[in-house]
Amino acid sequence: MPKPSDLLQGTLDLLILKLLAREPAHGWSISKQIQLLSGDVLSVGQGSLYPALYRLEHQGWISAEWKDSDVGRSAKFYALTRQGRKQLDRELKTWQRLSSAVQLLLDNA
Amino acid sequence: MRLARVAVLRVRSLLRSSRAEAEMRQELGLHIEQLTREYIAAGMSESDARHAARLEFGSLEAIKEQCRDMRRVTVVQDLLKDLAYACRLFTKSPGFTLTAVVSLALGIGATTAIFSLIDAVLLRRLPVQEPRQLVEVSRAGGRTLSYPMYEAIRDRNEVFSGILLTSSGRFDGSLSVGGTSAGDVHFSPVTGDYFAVLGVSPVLGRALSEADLPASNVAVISYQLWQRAFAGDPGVLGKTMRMGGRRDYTVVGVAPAGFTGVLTGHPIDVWVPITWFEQPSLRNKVAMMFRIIARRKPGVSADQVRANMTLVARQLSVEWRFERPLQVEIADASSGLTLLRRQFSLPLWVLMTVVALLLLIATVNVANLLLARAGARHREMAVRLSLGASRWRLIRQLFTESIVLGGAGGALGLLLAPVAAASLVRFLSSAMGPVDLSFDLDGRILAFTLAISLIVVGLFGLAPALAATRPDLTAMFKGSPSATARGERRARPGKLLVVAQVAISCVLLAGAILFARSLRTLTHVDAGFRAENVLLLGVGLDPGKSRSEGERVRTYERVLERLATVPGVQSTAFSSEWLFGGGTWTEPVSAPTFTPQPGQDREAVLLVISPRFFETMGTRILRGRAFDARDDERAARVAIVNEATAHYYFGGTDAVGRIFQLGDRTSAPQMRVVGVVQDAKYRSLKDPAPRMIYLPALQEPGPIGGANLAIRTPGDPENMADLLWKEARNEVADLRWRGVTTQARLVDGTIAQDRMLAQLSGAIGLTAMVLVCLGLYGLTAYEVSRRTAEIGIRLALGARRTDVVRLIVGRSMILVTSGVLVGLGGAAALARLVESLLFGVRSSDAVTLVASAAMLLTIGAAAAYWPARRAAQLNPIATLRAE
Repeated sequence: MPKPSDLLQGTLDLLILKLLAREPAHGWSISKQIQLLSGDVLSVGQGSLYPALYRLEHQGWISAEWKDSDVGRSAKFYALTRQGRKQLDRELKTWQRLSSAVQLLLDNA
Repeated sequence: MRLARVAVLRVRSLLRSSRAEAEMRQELGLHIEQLTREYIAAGMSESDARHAARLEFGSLEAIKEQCRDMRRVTVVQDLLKDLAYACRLFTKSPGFTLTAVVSLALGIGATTAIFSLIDAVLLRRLPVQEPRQLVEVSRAGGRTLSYPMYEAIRDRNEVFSGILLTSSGRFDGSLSVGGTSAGDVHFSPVTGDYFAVLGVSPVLGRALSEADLPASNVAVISYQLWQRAFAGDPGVLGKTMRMGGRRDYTVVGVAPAGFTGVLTGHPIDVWVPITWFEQPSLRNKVAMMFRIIARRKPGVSADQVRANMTLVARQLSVEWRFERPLQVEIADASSGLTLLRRQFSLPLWVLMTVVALLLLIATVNVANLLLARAGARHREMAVRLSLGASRWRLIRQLFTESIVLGGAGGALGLLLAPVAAASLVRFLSSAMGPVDLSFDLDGRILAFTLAISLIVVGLFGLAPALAATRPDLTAMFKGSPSATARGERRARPGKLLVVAQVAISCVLLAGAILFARSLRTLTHVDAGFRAENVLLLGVGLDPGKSRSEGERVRTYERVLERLATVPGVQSTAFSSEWLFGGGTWTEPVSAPTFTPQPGQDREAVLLVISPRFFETMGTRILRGRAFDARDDERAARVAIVNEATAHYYFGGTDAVGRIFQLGDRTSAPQMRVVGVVQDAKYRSLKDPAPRMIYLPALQEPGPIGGANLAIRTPGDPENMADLLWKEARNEVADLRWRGVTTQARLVDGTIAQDRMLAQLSGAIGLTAMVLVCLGLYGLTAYEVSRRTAEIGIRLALGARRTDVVRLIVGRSMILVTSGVLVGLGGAAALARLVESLLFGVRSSDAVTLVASAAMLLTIGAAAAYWPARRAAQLNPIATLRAE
């Protein structure tokens, strides 16, 4: 199995926000889902994930709550806030603009 | 909304930081647990799985730290932690802390003190409307003007919207209200437009106005006096107070709080109409007793004012037939009248520079101490860096420590500053008469202290913090060989600092020696009279009892004779003015032997004296005789001249028998010179003796209203003051007391500025030297401890102990010598700026430069010698084994 490639700089926030838009999740499940939903291509290190979560929480885009989890213990669940949803829209637009621009360049070059 | 929630979050995580920490631990722990379970599910043993999970997770502490950073509360939290740590650290090494804090406090305190003085004397603006529009109009050199000149300028100028006149100083008088004494007050006669021109409106009642002038019995009192003497009584208006024991004044207004007149350092309690002065003083065109402040019309530039005033002055000189044309000068008066400023602004700026340099030395010293500590703490830093602390985090911590030091130094300095400022004011007072300046710790002073403390912290904190945290881990842990090379590099900033320190203190030392030599020259100037042991007693006669001028002079002569009988009194005299008393009477002189060129100065200073004046003052008579009882109203007019006069008007020292006249009128009485005395200084030790003509009191009694007695006593003259006054009073019952001082005091007052500079710069120079000594000692000791192994090897290989001493002292002396060379260059350059403050010493004085260099080299060698000797006594075996 090839080593999952590192995340593109700055896309981690987008991925987290997108995943949390589906349902609240805790850190472990977020990291698992990123790996799973990207078909094992993307992986995020704990050293990046948790600081990012703390940063997003403090920017007011996600909120945290301790709840019982699927793994049998209470875990810290993160959920998207209203501002977070707006932020997600903004980041999605930025991403789409960026990726189509990159695609355009690759096609034409 | 979002901001609010973020704020709540941050405060909560700050307040409940332990809970937030626990949650973080739990959250990350859960993650590791899941990882472990995955590995177990993949078939690992539990302990292997746990190990693998930890490996994959990476440095737990580093991640935690990053998470904390994201929470953004860490800055505050770390700060508190760092502060606590710093305080703990400093209490552990009290010697270091004390040295650092005290040297900073001295530097900051001294700087703040001088600043508060500069602020009070030079910077603070008058609490009046638009102070920037105010200018002072004076004669060249900032000298006073006469009342008719004020009227002329008021009527003819085209540039002022208002102009006021005030007495040049303040007068002292006792105040009584309703028969009860209310202590002494300072008052100043002013023109009716005084308050209107300044734009100061009374808080109670009305200001003085032009209409008050003829009446002359109304007064405006200061807010402070209103509180002090009238207990803030709103019914004060219309009350009568008696001032100086003779005149009654009706209070018509109270000035606003904080307004104390326009004389910086000399607050006024009572303002009275200018007609307090006798009419002759106000009519005399050359009675130069007043100061003038004018308000520029908006949009009028300083140059326009100057041009207009020059024009008016030229007109007046022609119309009033002045011997020498009137020269006017315009000065900014936004901070009040220039008396203090003119005399003390340069010395104050010099002192400011000097203390700033001292502060710099203190700062460098602390930087050096910290650098040495940084060397010692290098291992601690390396361990923390390798455990994942960011360099920025460590720099922040070291900087916090510096801030604690700087803060403590600044706070202590702030306590010292008022004490230092008060003693500075005593210096000022000895020159200017009592000076009242307020040194409240206002916002400006606090801001200044805070600013310099921060600058100082920035200066001494930065280099050590950077040096200590240089990420050089491998070398650090590896130890010896590369550590030595690195240590060499690390010591370099320390060496540069010592060179800078030596250079600065060389400048300070040279300045101190220069001022001390200047003062010494001044105090050894031959004044032409002996000032010590002469008591000066000012007396007057009751004006109620009418006496002719001659009777008055004879009454004073009776007093002199009586005083001469007091045991111990050697000689007594009086004169129209005291030497160095400040008053000057000049007249143009014409003599058959003297044909002046047009524009040539013809004036001489006149002094009316009693017969034994020269004997009392100790001035030698070179030719002819002194005055005696022969020289009375009926005898031919005679005079005594000094050498300067003899040469100027009579072409040689032998002027006895020569004839001259005073003034311009040919009808003026002819006077014959009967004696020539040696030149004596009159107003200042720095100026050459003026041309003097002495006249006998009985032949020129006019200026002898009151008498300025001079009494030569055997010991301290002030001890005899009471006795002599009683004795005089016994002789003439209606004699009035006008004050007492000594001739030495009057002379001393004129060199107070020089004394202040010499003593303060001396104290600062010495402090600088002590600091340099400490700095050099510290650096050498540090070097020695770092090179213990090397020295041990040298000794083991047969180096003699003297060689080791020479090696170490030699290295220090290279630093000291380069510092001295740089310093001498700086001193020579800077000294030129203070040339005008020196007397009898050139700014490039060789003795000064050699002496300061020699002193620094000597103490430099001494400071390096002790650590070197200790190094030489090392036991080579022991040191090598320790490595």
